[in-house]
Amino acid sequence: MGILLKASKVTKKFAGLTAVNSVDLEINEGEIIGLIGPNGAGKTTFFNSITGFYPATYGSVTFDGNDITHRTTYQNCKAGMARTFQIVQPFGQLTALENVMVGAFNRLESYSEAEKIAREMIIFVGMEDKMHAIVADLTIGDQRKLEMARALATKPKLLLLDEVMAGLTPTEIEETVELVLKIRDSGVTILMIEHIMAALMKLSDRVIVLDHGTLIAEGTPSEITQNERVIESYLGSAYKKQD
Amino acid sequence: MQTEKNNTPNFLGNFLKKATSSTSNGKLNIPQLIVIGVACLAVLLAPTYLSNYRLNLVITILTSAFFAQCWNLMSGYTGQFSFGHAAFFGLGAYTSSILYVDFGVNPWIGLVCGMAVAGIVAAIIGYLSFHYNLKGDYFALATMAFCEIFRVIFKNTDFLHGASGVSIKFSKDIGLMQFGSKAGFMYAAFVLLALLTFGMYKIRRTKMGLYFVAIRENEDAAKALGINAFKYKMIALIASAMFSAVAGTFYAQYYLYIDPNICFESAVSVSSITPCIIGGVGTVFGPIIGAAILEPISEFTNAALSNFVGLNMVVYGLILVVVIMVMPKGLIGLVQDLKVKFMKKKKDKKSKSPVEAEG
Ligand SMILES: Nc1ncnc2c1ncn2[C@@H]1O[C@H](COP(=O)(O)OP(=O)(O)O)[C@@H](O)[C@H]1O
Ligand SMILES: [Mg+2]
Repeated sequence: MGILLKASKVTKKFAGLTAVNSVDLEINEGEIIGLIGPNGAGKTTFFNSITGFYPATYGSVTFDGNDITHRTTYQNCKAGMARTFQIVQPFGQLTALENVMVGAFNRLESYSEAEKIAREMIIFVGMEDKMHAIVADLTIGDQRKLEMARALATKPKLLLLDEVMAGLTPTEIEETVELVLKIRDSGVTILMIEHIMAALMKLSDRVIVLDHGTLIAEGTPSEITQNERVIESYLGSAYKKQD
Repeated sequence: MQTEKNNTPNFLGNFLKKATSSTSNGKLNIPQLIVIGVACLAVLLAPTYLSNYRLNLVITILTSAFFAQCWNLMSGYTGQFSFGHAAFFGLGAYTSSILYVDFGVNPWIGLVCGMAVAGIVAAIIGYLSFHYNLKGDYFALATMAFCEIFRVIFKNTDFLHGASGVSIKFSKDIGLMQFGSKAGFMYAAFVLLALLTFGMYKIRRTKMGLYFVAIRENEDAAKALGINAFKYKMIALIASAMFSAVAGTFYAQYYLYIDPNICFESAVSVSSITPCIIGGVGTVFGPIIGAAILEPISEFTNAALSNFVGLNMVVYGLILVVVIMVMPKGLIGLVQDLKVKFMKKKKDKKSKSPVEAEG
């Protein structure tokens, strides 16, 4: 099992605010890593930095053995990095099938091939009944699932999920947990931002915790839940919220 | 997603979003094919039943639809709102005309040269805009500014014939890209429009076409899915500009006179946009339907109000505003929405009736 992604001292500053502060992270092939932290901790910004949405201010990222620090988003996708967005970013006026086809074209030229892969992916996430629906008309839950299908259609090595379970019903969360496991079993490594602790416990091999842009803890799910600093800065309030 | 430059004003882009219909990818069904066939036949047979005066209107519709289709490729499909398509139209018209009049170059070759010039200028505008991430209204303004620069340059440069413009000698030689009669020009315009429209229809079901539309719908998502947005925006812009140049050369060869205002005025840019808005932005047939509605109206207001200079434009503008208010997604969008509503009603009735039967 090799190292798939290595982030070294990744830092992202916005005009005076250090959103991500010198974060080191190694992800091994086949792992599911959970990324938690309070709102505004810099989790999404960390995603944006490693996927090339906005380049890191300092630090470097290697992916699959190559330095990708200065690569752009589409190049990273070609190299095998795919993501979903915390705020869904659908191609609203296109059908579900076409949305996923855009992803499939990452590795293909032929329209019919892309259609075939897209169909498979939509069936994989269990949305075959919405194949030809206009995506703007779908529920947020469905749009989230579709974003996963779309990302998977690019045939990634690493999938970055940004709060895909937010706003879902308990049943939908259950389904999504199963789905994430299925994705990992198909050979995709996963880094996921999630607030639903129960789901993360079930899924993650390791959990890392960001607070104010700094990585404050890293370990197995049970280690993290017992970590004083994590309870103080995040879990405490999160547990309170759940009451 | 939050991007670092999330404060770009995007009034035009938002308008475009509202004006864009969904399902513009649909395969044509048989009734639609019949309508298209009948329309083509009506145009092809027009010289047998229309006067030369009326044929002129048909030619205006066809060329206006062609020019609008060019805009549709870059702004309707790809979502980069251009307010300066007159620049490419004018460059096409001027390149072929000056090459012919001053250097004796055959207009057919001039046509190709015009496409090349427009393509190169589009590449420069596109590179500067897209490389520096000019988006939304700023991009539209940039295209408008470029167009205005050309108008001023052409007006004030003697070897480009300045404000007096270029006159082209009349001939009946198809070898000189003059098609002999109104009917000849009409057939030529028909072929141009048919080819471009067929291309627009076909490309929608290719990787490139879907990429264009994906960029329009959500550029961040497109990039995250491996799309080199810069490249595809450049392709759409350059292709659109080159076809617009064809429209320009055709105009010059038909009317045999061009000047900086005729070519580069913002009204010309607007004329590439309005048919799309009336017919349906981002749809294959929107520009044609729009042109077929607008040109007769404009002809009518011009004729009816010929004594009141400017009033025709006011009336035309008012009609446009009303139409946009009544059907913001154009005629095609309106029909689609009605269809969806109708289907829903039918469905509701169906799901209701068994319950009623039980009760
Ligand atoms: N594009 C941006 N410009 C300026 N500040 C930003 C931008 N994106 C995020 N931030 C700031 O960076 C911090 C981290 O945000 P984010 O990464 O979204 O947090 P999280 O995903 O952990 O909730 C926040 O304070 C946020 O306001
Ligand atoms: Mg976030």
